[in-house]
Amino acid sequence: MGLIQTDAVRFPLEEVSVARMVFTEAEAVVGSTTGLMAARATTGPCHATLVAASAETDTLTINFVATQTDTPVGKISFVLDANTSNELAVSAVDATGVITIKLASSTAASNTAALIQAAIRAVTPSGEGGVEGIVNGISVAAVVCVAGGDWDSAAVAESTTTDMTDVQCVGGGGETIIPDETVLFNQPPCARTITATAVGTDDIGAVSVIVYGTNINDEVISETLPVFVVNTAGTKTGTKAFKTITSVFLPSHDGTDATVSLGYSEALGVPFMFSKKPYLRATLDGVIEANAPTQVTDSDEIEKNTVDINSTLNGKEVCLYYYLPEA
Amino acid sequence: MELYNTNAVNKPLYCGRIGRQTLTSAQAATLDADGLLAAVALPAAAADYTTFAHAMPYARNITAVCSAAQAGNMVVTGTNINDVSITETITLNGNTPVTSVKAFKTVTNINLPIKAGSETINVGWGDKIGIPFMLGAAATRPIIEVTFLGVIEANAPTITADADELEKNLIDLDSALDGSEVCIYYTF
Repeated sequence: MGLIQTDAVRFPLEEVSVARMVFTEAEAVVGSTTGLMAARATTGPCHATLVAASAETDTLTINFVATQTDTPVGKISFVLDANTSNELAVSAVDATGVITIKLASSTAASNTAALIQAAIRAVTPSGEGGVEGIVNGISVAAVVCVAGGDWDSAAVAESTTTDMTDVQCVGGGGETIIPDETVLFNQPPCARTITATAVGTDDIGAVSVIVYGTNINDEVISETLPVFVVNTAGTKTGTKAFKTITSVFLPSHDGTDATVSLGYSEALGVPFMFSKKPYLRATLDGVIEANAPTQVTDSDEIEKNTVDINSTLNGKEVCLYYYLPEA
Repeated sequence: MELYNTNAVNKPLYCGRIGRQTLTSAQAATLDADGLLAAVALPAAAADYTTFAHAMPYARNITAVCSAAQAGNMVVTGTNINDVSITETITLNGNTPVTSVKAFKTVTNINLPIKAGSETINVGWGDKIGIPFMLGAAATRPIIEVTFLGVIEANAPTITADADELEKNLIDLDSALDGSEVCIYYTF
């Protein structure tokens, strides 16, 4: 480490160097919530439909959001049956993923969609280590049951014409988007943090987009973006700066009206792993920023070191000037 | 001195140098009005005090305030940032705080004046930091900038300069010190 002598002979200063990082006009473009991918409809939730004996139109549709950690298709199924007593009974088997709904034998008011929904959410599967609200590794704690026809006033037994012994879930697995194969999918202009924007208020689920790609050092990274707020349109921003994106997983939402767009923020990835914030000045189009940039530092993940200058990026050259100790 | 070539071959520039003075979290501690002497009764006759509640966290200015009327002189003895022995006489002003003009790295003795009544005194350290330069006129000084927990201070620090007494060269950040790391950058 270099030292600079001062007027206090016992108190030399540590010498630091100036390092400059330049973002070209093409790299310093304004952040965009659709810069990577325009709004795209997402798949709806997993669902299964049960039919009562009273009429083929008396149905109960059970919906639940499939997140990226769930593999629900073929993993959860339902059995609808009449109970021998006049009580609603819901049970589940962890190993098979089968949820059995036994309807109260004579009182339809005991079998409403609301009551069945509550019973499924609270079910604890049989078998060692069963956890309430989780069946075969899949959360059913947020299932939504919707009555069709006269289900709430007429359902006391299963359909005699539609097989209700093994009703499989369908849909809701989400999809993987690959830039090279998907129209309107671009790469970030430089290493940037990624945004996902959900629209379609009533159908937005509490799910996350997963981004796969590389960091500023061309190393493979991935990030699960923050969870969307249920039924609330908004943008979620990651903490890692992606230089490239190799694929993105779009999860299913509560319904098919939800759309998701992908973009990049104003936060620029930088090629350091700082344990604490260094001195940093920025210029935008050659003018020193009056207010210091916002720095995020991380000492062991380079992609979490970002800089957001005070001004909004506008396609003009940005220079970052660091004062750093000599290596 | 190293030169930096320009597009005018007959007009190279001097390469600047940047020095950094770092105050750790402990050194950049919040000011403490009774960090040295806490509610000590002024003596019946001028007396020396050599035992203090805490050591100075860094070369910082000294503050003092009495609980009631007192206009005597307090003499502080210690060392500056260069470990050279220094003293300063500070005239007390009753319950109005007074401060030293020198930065003390250590305090070894405080001589308190005779009491005026039954007043007590608090002595501690302030927010001003000693720097290792004897600064001349403003035009001759290095550029001085400060980061507070890694963020450049939006408002420039206040510099007190003295060309021949090191301990009278002080810097006062726009932010109040609070235990966050402080870096002072000098560009020459």
